[in-house]
Amino acid sequence: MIHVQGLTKRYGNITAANDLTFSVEAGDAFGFIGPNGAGKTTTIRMLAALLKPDEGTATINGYDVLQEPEGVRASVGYMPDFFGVYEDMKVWEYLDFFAAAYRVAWRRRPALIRDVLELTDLSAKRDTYVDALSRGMKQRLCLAKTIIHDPDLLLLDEPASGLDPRARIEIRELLQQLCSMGKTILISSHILPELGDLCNKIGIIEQGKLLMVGAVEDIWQQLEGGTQLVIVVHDRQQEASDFLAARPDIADVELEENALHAVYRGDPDAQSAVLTALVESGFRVTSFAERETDLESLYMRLTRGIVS
Amino acid sequence: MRVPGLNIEDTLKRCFHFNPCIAVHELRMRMRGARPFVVLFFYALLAAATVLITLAVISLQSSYYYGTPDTDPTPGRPAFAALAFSQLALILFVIPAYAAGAITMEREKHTLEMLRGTLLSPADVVTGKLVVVLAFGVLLLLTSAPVAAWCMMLRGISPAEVALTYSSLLIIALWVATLGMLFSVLLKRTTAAIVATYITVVVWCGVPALLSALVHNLARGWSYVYANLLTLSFLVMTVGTVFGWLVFLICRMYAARGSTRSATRAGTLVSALIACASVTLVFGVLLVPLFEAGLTGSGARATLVAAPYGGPVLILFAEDFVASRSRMTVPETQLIACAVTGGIYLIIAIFFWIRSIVLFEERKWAV
Repeated sequence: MIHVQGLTKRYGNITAANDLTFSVEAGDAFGFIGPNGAGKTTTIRMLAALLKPDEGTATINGYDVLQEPEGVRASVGYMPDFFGVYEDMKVWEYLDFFAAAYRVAWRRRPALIRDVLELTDLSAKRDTYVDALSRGMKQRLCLAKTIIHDPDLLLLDEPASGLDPRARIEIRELLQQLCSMGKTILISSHILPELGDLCNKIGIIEQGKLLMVGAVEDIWQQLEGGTQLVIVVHDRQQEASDFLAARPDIADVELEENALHAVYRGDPDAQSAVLTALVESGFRVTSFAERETDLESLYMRLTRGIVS
Repeated sequence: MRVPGLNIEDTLKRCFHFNPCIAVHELRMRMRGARPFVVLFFYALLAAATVLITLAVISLQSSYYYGTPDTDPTPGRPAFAALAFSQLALILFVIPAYAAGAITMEREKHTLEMLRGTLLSPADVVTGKLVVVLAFGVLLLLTSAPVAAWCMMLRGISPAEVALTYSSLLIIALWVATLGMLFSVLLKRTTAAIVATYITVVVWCGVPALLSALVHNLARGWSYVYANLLTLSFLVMTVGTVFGWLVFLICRMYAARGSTRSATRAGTLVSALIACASVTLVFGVLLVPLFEAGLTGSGARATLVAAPYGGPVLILFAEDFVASRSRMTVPETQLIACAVTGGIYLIIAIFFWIRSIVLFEERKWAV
């Protein structure tokens, strides 16, 4: 769906995007994470054919961003981080305008607007003026506008910034629904929990550089060199710790309170062998689990020291 | 928009590759609420006031000199001239305020980026906005049409002359609308674009007037009291614009200090109306008698044709011209004046229009 090769954008001496290379497959939900000013917006705008890259290529749905911006625009729904709304305009007129701007035939528009309003839960606000909507509703309306021409790919730049927790959850549920409808989503954020449940792939960007790309679990594994295990034994914790440390497929055993944190480096399918060995040696194991891949700690590890 | 069997949108798309949605959208926003109707109402009121005051001035003059108020057999002509020139001044004052904000407002409201993300072409955006500005100009001119009909009933002006004057006013409106649009594409802020449009109008209208004044003064010596037609037209066109803008700013300083948003808006609207009224009265009513006085001693028709106001001036005062120095008949002079000045400004307007589209396209990568 998206193939990016060596994409670079400079503003004077500042390199906003530096040699980015990644790809997103159809149906993926790709999270673009980085602190403010890392180059997320620049990258998304280049993908939406709104900003000319200095170097590199990007193709979206088979269309080259530089050569065929029309094709890119037809297949992309772009939601900017800072969007304005028109005064003196009703909700349905706003959507009708954008549908017309995307060359949706007028016969199809009323039904389309009804569907999109229903999806974004704004049906009751059809005849309200746009500038009378709350911020969360405006954000949902902008999302409705983004999907009005039924694009395959959604480029969403910080869709939940500045929203209260409730509105944020509503947006997230909406995005999950869109994901299940088969849309490919590229979403940027500096708020991590927002992406955790939604994305199956992430890219971490800082100072214009892509630090890491891949599935959340893969990145975690890459960082740790293995799977994080959390093992709780009823007693003889120190003994269990020594036992684990002696095994060749286990590295870095740490004892924190009652739980043992260990990194498993062996064959993922043979992970249960560790449990078997523990039980056979007479340790009373009450819990044996993989640690949940937590995006926040992943992010903190990756960006450690670079920001400060 | 929905006529069974025929759809304007489909037809435009199919035949001209023009997507009219910007025009529809602009019309929805601009014609909503009471504001446009208040503007039209006051415009009609001003047009009527101009004619009434002109007629009053004529009869007062007549009473003063001849002892009876109705010595002029054709009061319709000076009344219509006053109407036409007040409209000219108003068009140049009002249209830039509408046109110069067309693109810059989108930029200021952060909607331009979303617009560029759609499948609208630069021509769709620029032309769509231009169509609406022009439609508003046409609406303003039409509002004054009943007053023009009233002038015709007073004798002295024919329907053909009214039609010619209105068509040259329309072309001036087109010219200034495309000029405003060009600055709207070029500049970042609305205020800058409006000011740049006003300054260009002033300089553009002033250069022919100054050239002609120079030629006359060189020919006749500096002691000649210069009441040239061009200088007066220049006054109507340019000083009128600047004057109106100043009145607007001064009024707004006092009127638009409301605490709420609607109070501020109402203050701005009132200031704009006061500014329009003063432009009309000062430059429509008071200067037209001077026009007629200035005509007999003027010449330099080449510079007059090159000036944007040449059309209406030559049409309305053709008689004086022909009487003094021409071999052509009055209708011929009027027709040629309308065709030449109209043609020149139509070509310039088309150039500005295409240039705006090209510039909008060139800047697509840099919002």
